[in-house]
Amino acid sequence: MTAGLSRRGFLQSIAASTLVLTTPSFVAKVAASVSEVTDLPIPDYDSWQDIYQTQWSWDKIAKGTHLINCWYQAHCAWDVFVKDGLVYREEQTAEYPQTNSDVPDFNPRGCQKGCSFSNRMYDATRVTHPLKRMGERGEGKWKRVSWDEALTDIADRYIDVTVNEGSDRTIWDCGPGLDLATSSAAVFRFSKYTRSVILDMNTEIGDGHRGALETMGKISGERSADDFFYSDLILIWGSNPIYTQIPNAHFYTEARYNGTKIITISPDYNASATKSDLWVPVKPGTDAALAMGIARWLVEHEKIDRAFMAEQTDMPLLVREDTDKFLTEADMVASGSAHGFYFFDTATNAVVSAPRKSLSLGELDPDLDASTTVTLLDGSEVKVRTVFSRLKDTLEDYTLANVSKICGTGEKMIELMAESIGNSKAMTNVTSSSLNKYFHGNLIERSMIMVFALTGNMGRHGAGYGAFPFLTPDGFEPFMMLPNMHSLEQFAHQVHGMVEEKVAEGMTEEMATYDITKMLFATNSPFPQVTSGTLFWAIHGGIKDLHDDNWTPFITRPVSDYVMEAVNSGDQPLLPPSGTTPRIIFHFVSNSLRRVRGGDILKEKLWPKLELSVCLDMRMNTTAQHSDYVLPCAAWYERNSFKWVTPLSPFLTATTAATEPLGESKPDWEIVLLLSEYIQKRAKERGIGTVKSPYGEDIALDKLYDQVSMNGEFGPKDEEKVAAAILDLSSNLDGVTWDHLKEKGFAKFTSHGHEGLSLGNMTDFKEGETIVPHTHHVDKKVPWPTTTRRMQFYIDVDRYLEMGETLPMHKEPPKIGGNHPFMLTGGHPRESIHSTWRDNPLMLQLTRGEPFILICPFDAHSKGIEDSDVLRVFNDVGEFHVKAKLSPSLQPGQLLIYHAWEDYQFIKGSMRNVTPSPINPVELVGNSGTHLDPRFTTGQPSTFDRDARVDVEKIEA
Amino acid sequence: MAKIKRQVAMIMDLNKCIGCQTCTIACKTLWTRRKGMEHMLWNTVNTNPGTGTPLNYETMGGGFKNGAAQPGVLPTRKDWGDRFDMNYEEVFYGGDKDKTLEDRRGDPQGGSNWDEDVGEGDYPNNYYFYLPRICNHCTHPACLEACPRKAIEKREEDGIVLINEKKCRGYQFCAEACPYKKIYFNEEEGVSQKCIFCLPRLQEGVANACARQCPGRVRFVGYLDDPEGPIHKLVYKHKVALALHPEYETQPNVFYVPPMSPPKIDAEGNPTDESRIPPEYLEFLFGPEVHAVMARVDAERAKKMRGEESELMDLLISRKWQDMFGPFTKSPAEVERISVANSDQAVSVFDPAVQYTPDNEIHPVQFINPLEDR
Repeated sequence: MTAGLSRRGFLQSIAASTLVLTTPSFVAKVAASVSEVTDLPIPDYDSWQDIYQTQWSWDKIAKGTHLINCWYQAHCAWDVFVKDGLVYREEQTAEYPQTNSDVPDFNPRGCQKGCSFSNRMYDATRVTHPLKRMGERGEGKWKRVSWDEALTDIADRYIDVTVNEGSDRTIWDCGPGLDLATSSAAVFRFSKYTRSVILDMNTEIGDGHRGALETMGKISGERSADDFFYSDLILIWGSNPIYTQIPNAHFYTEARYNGTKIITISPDYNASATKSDLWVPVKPGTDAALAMGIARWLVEHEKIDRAFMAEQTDMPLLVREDTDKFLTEADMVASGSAHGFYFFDTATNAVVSAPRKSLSLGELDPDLDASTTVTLLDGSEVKVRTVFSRLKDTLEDYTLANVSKICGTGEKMIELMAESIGNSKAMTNVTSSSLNKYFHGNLIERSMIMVFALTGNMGRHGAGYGAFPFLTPDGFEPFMMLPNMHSLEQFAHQVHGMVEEKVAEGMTEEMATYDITKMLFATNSPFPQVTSGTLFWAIHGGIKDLHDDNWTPFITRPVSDYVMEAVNSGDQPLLPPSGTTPRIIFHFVSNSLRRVRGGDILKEKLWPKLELSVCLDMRMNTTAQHSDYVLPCAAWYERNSFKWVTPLSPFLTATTAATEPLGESKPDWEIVLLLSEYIQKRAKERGIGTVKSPYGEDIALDKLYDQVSMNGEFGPKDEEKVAAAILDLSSNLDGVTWDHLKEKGFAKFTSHGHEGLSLGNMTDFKEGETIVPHTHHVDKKVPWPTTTRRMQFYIDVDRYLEMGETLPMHKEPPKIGGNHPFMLTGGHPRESIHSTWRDNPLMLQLTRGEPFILICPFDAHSKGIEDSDVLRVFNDVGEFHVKAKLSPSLQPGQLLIYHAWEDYQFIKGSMRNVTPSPINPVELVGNSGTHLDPRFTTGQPSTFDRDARVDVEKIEA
Repeated sequence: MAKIKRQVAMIMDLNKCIGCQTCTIACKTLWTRRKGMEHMLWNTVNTNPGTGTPLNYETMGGGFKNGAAQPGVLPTRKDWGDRFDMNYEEVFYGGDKDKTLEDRRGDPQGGSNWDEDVGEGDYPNNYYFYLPRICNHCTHPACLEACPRKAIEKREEDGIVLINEKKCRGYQFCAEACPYKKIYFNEEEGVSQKCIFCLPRLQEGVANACARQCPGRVRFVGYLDDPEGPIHKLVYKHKVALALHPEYETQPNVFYVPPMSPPKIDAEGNPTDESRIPPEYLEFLFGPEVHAVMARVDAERAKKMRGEESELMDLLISRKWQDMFGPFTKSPAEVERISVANSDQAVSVFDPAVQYTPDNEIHPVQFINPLEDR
């Protein structure tokens, strides 16, 4: 027991300008107060209980949450208990309503990370004052500076770079702190007015769900977690929800008690497999073969939903045998559309145009198996047949025996899984973004979605494939775009006009919205300026040069050529352009150097060219270590805001300032607003006004703060007002106000609203009903936002023809990093969200205190490795040193290291050193006029770390 | 020993436990943050089969055999998995760019969750599950009998077993006697300490922190004799909740629903009829009754699969979360617990972190870990 230290005393200690390092004044204070307490009679201490009674007490309670990208498990409403002016602990609010009496309620939500944030915010990694680098980058020599000194210097250097080299040389890397609320509002408004570049990192981090884009024309769409209760079969495939969906996990375990069968497919016997009725082991990266084998079995046994396929998918559409392209109206009629498609109607016995405005077939009855001859516009005759007919040919190869050989899975096991799927009345998946991190992850996802489409498991309660869960208040977009709050009507009119125009051209509203988000990548747009994170790091960071074409022999030309062609042709926009040099990076709650796969090449190639690297974060991390300034952000319990969530838990959750920010830390919004203020002030002082961007855009440096703050309406101290304004502008929370949200802690979404990603859910949120995505397509017959307007399994874009990937299929994983015996796999950890809790003392205590790599005892013993031995893990591109953890849950030939250890936690090197992040040429498609072209969060190349091949050896002590 | 009027109890459903350790942290941040408690986790979750916490506790003796007290050994601080002491300031501000974050006490060799997700059985027939544990608040507590100072009491009104830290002199006979090895020693305060079943919370009608904060909805709390409550129904009516190691004869009041597991896989990679977790291992943990329990759960689940009703399954699902907590359904926010820290009788146990980055210094950080209290 020690004496209490009041916040006032504590803060005085922090603020003290001259501290004696050896004996900080607080020590004396504590010592004094301890003796005071010891000397006291302590009148109530005659019973042991009093200390425990006292321990569970507080001064006040505030609502809180964690504004971090927990994604599938986001977010949870917490009561934050404040004692002596500091956060003492947190406990779930746990007042979520039950949707209806069929299903479990959402309470209490939360996890071990959330309930230790009160520890995290005060642990040794917290940064409380602006720090300026004194030694070399990464050397760990810092000087504490004032905000004024830091911001003046940053503003001056920003102005120099912008004026002398261009607006696009300043980059914002927004990591897991991207909230699409107050923090993002600041950065996006800053970018809109300065044309500085925000990296779209969704595909870069491997969350691109390319297969979903290819098949469904969009990546988003997910059910509420309580809807899983209506499934009779849940496939946990490419996910480990017992680690990564802690607050949702009870819905799965409880669904089992309700009679639901759970099948987990994974290489290792992971925590989720332990909660399953059947665990199906596969060799890493062979999941597509398994899905194809199941599809073959379903077709062979007629366990398919032909009506669904005919109405909702491209299976009946006709493909030319001569060109392998869809038969289009351009082939058939003068001035015909390249986006008009055909099927064979058995009702009229004729080739007819597939309906475009609606999926509804009316009297039409498409033949799924048609094979016929048509006469083209030029009089020539060509053979055509359906996508389904072609697919059946492809499926021929995937016999149980072949699939068993590829996947290492027993034939009866595959058959049992196929039977379960074939007999299921309502099947769902739990698939996070693990499979996207395989080089052929798109083929895996296409194959998996195909299994759902063949069986008609889409858009019903308990049935459907979910890819990318996303849901956010739709007031963010207008707030980031508005010159001022009075122009709302004008803005709404403008956006509405853009949508209307596209709808008039024949797009659905959903397609039009996606189309508009392409403008984020364009210069001279009214939007903030965005560019692909993958391409930025690949080209400016040198990651591209790590690639060795020998790893991908199935690609006949150098991969680098594809990349440069895509960038130079503008198929894939990149800013700043190839050949120019980025000069300033703001790491905005974003641990770029820890995150970007490919190792230290960034530090060698890009960092030396940087004029300025500024890290805005609440804690020290790998990126902060290599920055020139670390600007201390307020912790989440010291702020007023919220963050995007997902339909899995369709509640917006608020955090409120339980205490003042620690030390001199400031909310993200305030920091960016102050930066704008300093830039404006310095520009004026230096006589700089409006400058031109390299693309002719006007950048009013001397008016920047006025623009970002809406003429001072939203100043640096107005984070809470911004949160309130975004809510006021939102249509999908039934008018809930900030005051209400702040008091209650959470509010239920009443629709997905109009924001581009949320819109992909395409469903109605009905009172008393669980949420099912994609009902607008399945029930209301609104076309899917693909080129064929159907769930599209056949892709006739040239690049796909070139790569032989027109249909779902399995391809052998490439040997990334060289021909080495082990496949390195990964996954998100149980005890951290990215690196945010990775080095927290409590979380370390519950693991091994340091990184470890999992290896199965069979492999370990063959290499003389024992548990806790230090290993050198290496391949052609790099190496790192890490301790071994032996686990028979791993399959022979597999190594597994969980995500996001900081560089400084490794004995030597980093796990990124062996993952060179190749680019897959099919993901570079652009300017194709199809649904694959780049737009916000998707249609850009990914990076892949799961196919990394490595070897290990024991390092003798 | 006075007759117990009522007994509070807990059921932990191992089919729902996901090993996330939220319970561990909820308990840690509430009760064991005082000096001398650094190594304490009154609530632990371990991967089973495994070494458990403290290390190999099942081999440490204690409890009774045919009514006779059995000798036990005292776990060491290392057996508990002592706290790491990481060199943050050296890494961040020490001026050595190659410095690794590490335990200042040397290579960590063990911890309370060292063998997480390892289990037993060769691939592909590896098996494991999570076993959360707190003090069992036994009906026949070995600790109580072992204490020469009569410092341990079993409360008449609710059966909670408490150490009176005023009477305790730190002899630790209790820790030797406890067969579950759930009693820690506080070297600073010179007393033995353990789970208090969140007594201050229960007194206010609030369920235990480990139970109320459990996102997996694993833990039921209530009075054993309440025929309407889930505890009574699951333990006595449906008979699916069993004590851990009943052979220790202390009669625990924490019960477990044993875990199901997917089938074993044969040499061809196909599923067999055998469950992955060997029934004999479950019997080792929960006694011979476990087989009947597994069969009952299977049979009731089969009913649900056929679309029939099952009271047992509905109880285990507990669609309304609050139904898990018997009479203890209040939220902490509903009760008044005003801190006395700023009053004249200040006995605060909260010690904030302090981080120093003084002006114009190159290596500027000193800090305090709030849980380490340095």
